[in-house]
Amino acid sequence: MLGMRNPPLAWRNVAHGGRRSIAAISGAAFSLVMVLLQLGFLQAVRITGANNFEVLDFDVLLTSSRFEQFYSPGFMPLERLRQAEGVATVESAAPLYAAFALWRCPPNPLDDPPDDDGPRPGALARWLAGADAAPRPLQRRQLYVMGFDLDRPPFLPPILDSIEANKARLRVPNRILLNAESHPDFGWQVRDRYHDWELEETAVEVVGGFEMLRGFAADSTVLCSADDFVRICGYGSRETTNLGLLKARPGTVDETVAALRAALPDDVLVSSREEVLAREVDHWVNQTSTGKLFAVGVLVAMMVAAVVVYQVLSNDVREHLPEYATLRAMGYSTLRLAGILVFQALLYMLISFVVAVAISAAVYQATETLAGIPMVMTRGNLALTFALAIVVGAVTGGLTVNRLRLAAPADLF
Amino acid sequence: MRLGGKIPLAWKNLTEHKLRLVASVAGIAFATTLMFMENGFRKSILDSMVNIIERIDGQVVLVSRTLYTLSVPFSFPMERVVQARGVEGVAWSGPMYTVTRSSYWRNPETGDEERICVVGYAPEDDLLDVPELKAGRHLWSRPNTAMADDRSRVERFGAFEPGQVSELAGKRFEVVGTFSLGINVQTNGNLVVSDRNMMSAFPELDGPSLMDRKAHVGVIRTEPGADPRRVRDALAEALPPDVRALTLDEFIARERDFWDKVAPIGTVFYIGVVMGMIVGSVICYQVLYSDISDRLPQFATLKAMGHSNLALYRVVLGQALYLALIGYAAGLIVSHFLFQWVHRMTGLPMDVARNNPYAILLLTVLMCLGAGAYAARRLISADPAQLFA
Repeated sequence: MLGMRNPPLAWRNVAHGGRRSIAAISGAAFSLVMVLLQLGFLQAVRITGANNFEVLDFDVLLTSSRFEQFYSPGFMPLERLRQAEGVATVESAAPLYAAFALWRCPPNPLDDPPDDDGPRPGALARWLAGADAAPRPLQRRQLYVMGFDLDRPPFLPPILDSIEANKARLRVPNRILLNAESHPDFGWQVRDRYHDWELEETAVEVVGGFEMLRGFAADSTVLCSADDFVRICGYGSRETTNLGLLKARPGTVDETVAALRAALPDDVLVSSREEVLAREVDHWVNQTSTGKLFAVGVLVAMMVAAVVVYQVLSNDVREHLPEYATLRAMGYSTLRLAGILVFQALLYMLISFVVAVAISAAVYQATETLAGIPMVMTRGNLALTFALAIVVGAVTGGLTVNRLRLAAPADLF
Repeated sequence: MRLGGKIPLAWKNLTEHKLRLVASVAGIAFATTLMFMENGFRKSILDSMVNIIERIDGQVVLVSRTLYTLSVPFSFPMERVVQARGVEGVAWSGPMYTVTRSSYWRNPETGDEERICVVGYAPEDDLLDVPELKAGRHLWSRPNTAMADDRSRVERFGAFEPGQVSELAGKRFEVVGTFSLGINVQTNGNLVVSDRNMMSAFPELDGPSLMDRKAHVGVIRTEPGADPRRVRDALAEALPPDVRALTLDEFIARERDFWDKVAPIGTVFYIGVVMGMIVGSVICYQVLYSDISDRLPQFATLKAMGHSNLALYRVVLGQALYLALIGYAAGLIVSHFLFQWVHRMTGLPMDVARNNPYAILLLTVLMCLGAGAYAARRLISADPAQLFA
């Protein structure tokens, strides 16, 4: 390869740059960390948005026409599900009752709760103190409750497994499952020592847990039987529900959606699984302020990274111009020098990228612990950042070559 | 002769190569922009969460003991608001109602029902310090009328304009005017209605008598000269424990505190701010370091000519300071336009001036000076001849 000929000039320029190389690499690496971090935030919005429906077992979803997103589904008569069952290709229809309800969050420490008037500890303080150690007063906070027919739980494993394991216990009234991934304030960690659980105005018993990501909208989730749900959340009867989860015969989803749209009145919205997931992600990424802010964050971080990387590389190349002039005077062709320049730029970016990924991994971990949102470094995001680094590196290297070509060897001194 | 006395050496160094200056300034400007952006996002989210309660025209408030954020309204009996009038230091008190989760407005253009935040109080009480609401009092006192926030999301509700007729909670309502408050991450729009219209739209708030109405915030105006904290303590003493008395500042601080520290969104943006500061600082350092290092030979010449270390140091730091200030100014301008764009896109309050501009300036200058000083270390310790190496 051009730059690697004996002597490997590009590599030596980088390796022997000392402090200067470190400054350049740290500048570029930290800019890339920012890009990865913003992409991670945006990804977290996508993941948590899609996750709510991903854990549910359905091919076609019925919702009220007022449906906004998972946490604001609107109401729908149960009758629509019965009507849907009349469509030939529908195998089964299960209602899911879902609403926000108030949860009595246990204080910490349990026997000596602090006063509620003082300032709360921040995420960092809580993290340093450990999830169980930060004092908190007794509080009632909102969480998301989902009620379903115990004989037809419309969930996919692993949540389905947790439900099956606790099914017998859930049949007794006022028993619920609590999300094991809840915000620590909701008390999953002290479930063995605390017994005064309350959902809305009803005393309940936590008989087990299940694992579901918590998003930006709900800090915790609770599962219970439909009968418990309608009583606790004041629905009055099971005749009003929130989501209708339909299973269609294999291969008939499009047909079923069309048939249901024709058969049902326009107070319900019929959507396929793909449509639901796409719409949910679109809602959280494009319709909410949070998603938009993160998207702007990605854009600005990329611009900053491009400018900084350009700055880093062009400075570095300029620094070595006299040496290049010497080589040129010795008879090296412009093309060969250009190869060295571009290769060196790419070397910088490669090293910076590796450093950036290492730092980001640590920052992702910290964010996940502190904020409780899923931070995943996806291949797509890594590839995007890598591509950004390489393109900016190559373009910058190339731009500097231009200066090299225009200048006569002697001028460069 | 004092170095840089006659000839502004630091300035000349900086402006010698125009292209290089542009690259350095761009580097620092973007580092500043990054800091502004992360800071601005966090701030705008927190500011937007309190945009309504910040306008409350009172010194002390009563809220339900269980309230942790006004986005999840908890109510308490209206009786407490009346009881408060007997407490020493209280000049006046009045109830405010809010519905956030179960209130739908029908978009007259599309016919879709969209969730909207509804605030209700008696028009003559002037509970919110918003000029349009005070001036239009006679308009929205009438039955089935509402004032609409013109900063509500247009794509959700359509453009609100006086005379528009649609439905709130399934009842016919007429928009009689607009005001400017702003939305937040929990709501896409705001309506203000009179207490009577509130009860007709949301009968669940009403009770068998006036005293049984469910209020969400009790606004208390203290007597002139009374210390709000004293009044708060007196209210806490006099009223049953189902309500909590807070000074308005405490109420605002509590609300921000929840979104900042408990909700995941605050933590995420906090991490963004910290990372933005670190990355911004590293970038400033990088720019300055290479800028100064490049000029070491020239500095060596000056040193060989007999100029003192201190004099050279001053030039280097002067150059760093200039670069920091120009970069900051450029970053401020870029951020200003970025903020305007984000404001238009999200409707969140974004304002460069409210974003610790001085803290960011200080950080930029400190980082640049630090980087300059670090780069100049070699200059101080080395023999002049070595610096040409």
